[in-house]
Amino acid sequence: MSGAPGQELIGKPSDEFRDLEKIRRQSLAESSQGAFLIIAVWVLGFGLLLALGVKEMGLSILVMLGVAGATGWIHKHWHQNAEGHYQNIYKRQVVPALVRSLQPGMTFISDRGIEEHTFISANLYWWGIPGLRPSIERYMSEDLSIGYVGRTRLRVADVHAEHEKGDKGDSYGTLFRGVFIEADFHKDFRTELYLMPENYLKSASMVFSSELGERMDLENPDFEKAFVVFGQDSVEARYILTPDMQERLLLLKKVLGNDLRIAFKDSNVYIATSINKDMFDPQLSRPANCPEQIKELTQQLAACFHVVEVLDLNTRIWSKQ
Amino acid sequence: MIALGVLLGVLVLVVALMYNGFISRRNRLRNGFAAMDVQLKKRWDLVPRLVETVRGYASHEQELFERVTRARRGIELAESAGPERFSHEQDLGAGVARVMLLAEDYPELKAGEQFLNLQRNLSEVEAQIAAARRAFNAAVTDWNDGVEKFPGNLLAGVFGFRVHDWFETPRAQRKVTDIQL
Repeated sequence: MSGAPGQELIGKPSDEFRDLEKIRRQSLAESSQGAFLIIAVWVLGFGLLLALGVKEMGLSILVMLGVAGATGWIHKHWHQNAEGHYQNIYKRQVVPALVRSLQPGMTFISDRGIEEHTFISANLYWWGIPGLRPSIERYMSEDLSIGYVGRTRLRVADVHAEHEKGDKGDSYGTLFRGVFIEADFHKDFRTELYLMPENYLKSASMVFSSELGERMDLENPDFEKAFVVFGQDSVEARYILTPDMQERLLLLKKVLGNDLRIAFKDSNVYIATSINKDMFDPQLSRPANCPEQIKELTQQLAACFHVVEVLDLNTRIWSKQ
Repeated sequence: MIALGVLLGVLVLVVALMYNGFISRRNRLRNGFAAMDVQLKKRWDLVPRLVETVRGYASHEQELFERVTRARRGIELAESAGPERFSHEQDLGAGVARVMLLAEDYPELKAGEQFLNLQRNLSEVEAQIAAARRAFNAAVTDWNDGVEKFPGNLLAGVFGFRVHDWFETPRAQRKVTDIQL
């Protein structure tokens, strides 16, 4: 491998990119055709209203708004289908190569994710009263990167978890949307430890915080400002959160964003970083071999794999091999 | 008369609450020390094996080995959580770190299965000791705050509660956990 990761893919007019570009143009054309069709429906509808001689301006506007809403909804789905088709092919052909160029020990599988039970058992997000009703009603995970970074087993995936909303339970609200990471921690431990964001104490979830254990104060004031720590054993909490690890977690927060929740459980570390968009997805509006897009995807993936280095998980001088 | 009774009742209640607070802090302190003691004992157990393994290669470092052995014996004889014990523990930690550094000069020793195993165990124990020491020192801070701050200091004087020593570690000992395999 030479140069920066992903560099070999940038600007390369390979057959793969030529085929992808064809698919992108077709998908874009389908989406545009949908838009033209909708405009045509609008013009036709408006003309029909005028032709029928509807005098009531208010009613006309209402009808037009209804048509606009319905056609807008149809177009959105039309566009999503076209974009989804292109993205699926792109993620099968380009992203795995990007992942390999970043980390030879990692593999990308676009149609697989991290299992719901793993996300739930990490205990970082829940809804409702634990034990009385299911915490997550709808769960979707995709774009799985799996393998080893050095000596550390790692899984990274896009996750969208939703809870029930309203009394009738017929609508859903987002509980978590972002990247979920599972990594093998470099030390063995028995108990559980949770790091929540600093605003966690003000949230409603705080009511159930006893589920997470006792609140713990550590010695680093910057760390105390950045995270609220819950755990079951003060010695083991400090075994995991060494002064060096606290500094590294502060750095990780800078890399992955402020809305970061971390669980240490079963000798693994689970990281959930909330991002209000789908990660690792190319845009239909950009050419298939667009250098900026490839750079962005590379940066997104690199930031996730960087967790191992930031937390120094490959240093295995303790009892865990 | 009633007012005096109420005042006395409130006073007794405040003293009882403060006293119970001291007892909780003292129990946390003892618990913290017990957790640390377990790890210190593990290191204490590992030292003879380490000395024997390294002595075979660096017999001329007799003075260092004797110092480590002396510190180890000192721990055995010292009072459980007193300053003398902490001082011996610090000497032992510093001595062990120096013995580990000696291995750098002997590639054959460093590559040996037995030494690698010892090094890994020692790194683990040192990390556990560091964690336990921080938890213990947090409990000591909490206790000392209670003893020294007003109005706790008034009650501490009456019940004979005194400030407790922190357990600090010499800089040299930190190097043990930095060793790369």
